[in-house]
Amino acid sequence: MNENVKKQLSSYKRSIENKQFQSSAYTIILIFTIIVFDIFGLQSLVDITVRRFDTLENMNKLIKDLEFKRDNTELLKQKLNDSKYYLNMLEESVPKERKVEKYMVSLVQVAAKHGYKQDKLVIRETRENYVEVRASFKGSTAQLEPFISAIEDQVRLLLVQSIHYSIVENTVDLQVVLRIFYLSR
Amino acid sequence: MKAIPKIFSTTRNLVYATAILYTAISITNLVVQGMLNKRVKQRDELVTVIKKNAYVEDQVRGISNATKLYRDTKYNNLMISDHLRPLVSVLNDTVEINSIIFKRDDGYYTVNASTNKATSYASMIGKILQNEHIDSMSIEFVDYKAQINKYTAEFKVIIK
Repeated sequence: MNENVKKQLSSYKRSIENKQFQSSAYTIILIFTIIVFDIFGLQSLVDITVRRFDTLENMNKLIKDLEFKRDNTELLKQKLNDSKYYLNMLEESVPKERKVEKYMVSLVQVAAKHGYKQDKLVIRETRENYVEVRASFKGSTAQLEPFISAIEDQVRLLLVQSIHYSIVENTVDLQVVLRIFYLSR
Repeated sequence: MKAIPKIFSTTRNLVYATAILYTAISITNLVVQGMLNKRVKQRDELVTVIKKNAYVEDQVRGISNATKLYRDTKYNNLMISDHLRPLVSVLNDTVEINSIIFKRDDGYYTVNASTNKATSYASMIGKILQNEHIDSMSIEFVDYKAQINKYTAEFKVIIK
């Protein structure tokens, strides 16, 4: 029995030491290594390259959009420069800030022009995009309609919310409530 | 025995092919990376320019909001002088005005006026109702003081 095992082992050893067998084994290992490398090594490299191509494509789209935006902004900039005069008018009409004091000066001037003298003034801030102004005027020869018309014809955007006009013994008493608008943020 | 060199040759070709493929993909990868770097630089430059001009968009948004506010306010609300002018004109021609009250939210005028002749009121009402901005009017009260022969009346003038 022991002899048989020894013989068998010796036969295996001879086979392994055989050069032809060794060459075949090394070749198979090499081919196996190449296939494994192709599957895992090259595959991951191909994946990275494909992903980079996708990124490049997205980047090209993004750059195209950004260029479009840049060109549009340049065009708008040009147009804004060309229409500065009208923009100033718009700012006068609908200012970004409340600028009520500036308006009140012009209101008093308009009132004086139509024979009214300002009596009282209450300015109320609101949460909306306007300031409410309650103004009282007195006059002796003053007329109602031309004054209201002049208020409404002013450049500043406003609404006459209410009027209370009365004549007692030749004295005109006028109370107006105005909503003076501005551009809230 | 002839099969062994054939296997070696095939294996060698496989190694060459793998090497060439790997090199080609690597070069492509490098080229793409180079192009990506160039695009990133280009993108950063564009973003800088756009950020620098960001105020233009703000300005345009402001103009758009201001224009909308102006349009909504001016065209959705009737100017008082449009109906006040003809109303006051008729009142001045026919009666003596004591008071005029108007509240935009209520949408009507309360007019208090006096006259010596009651017929003046009829004339006044007739003329006022001809106005295109006036919807209707009603007499709230009429008071007559015989010792001074003076009528005082209050009207409600409802605008359209």
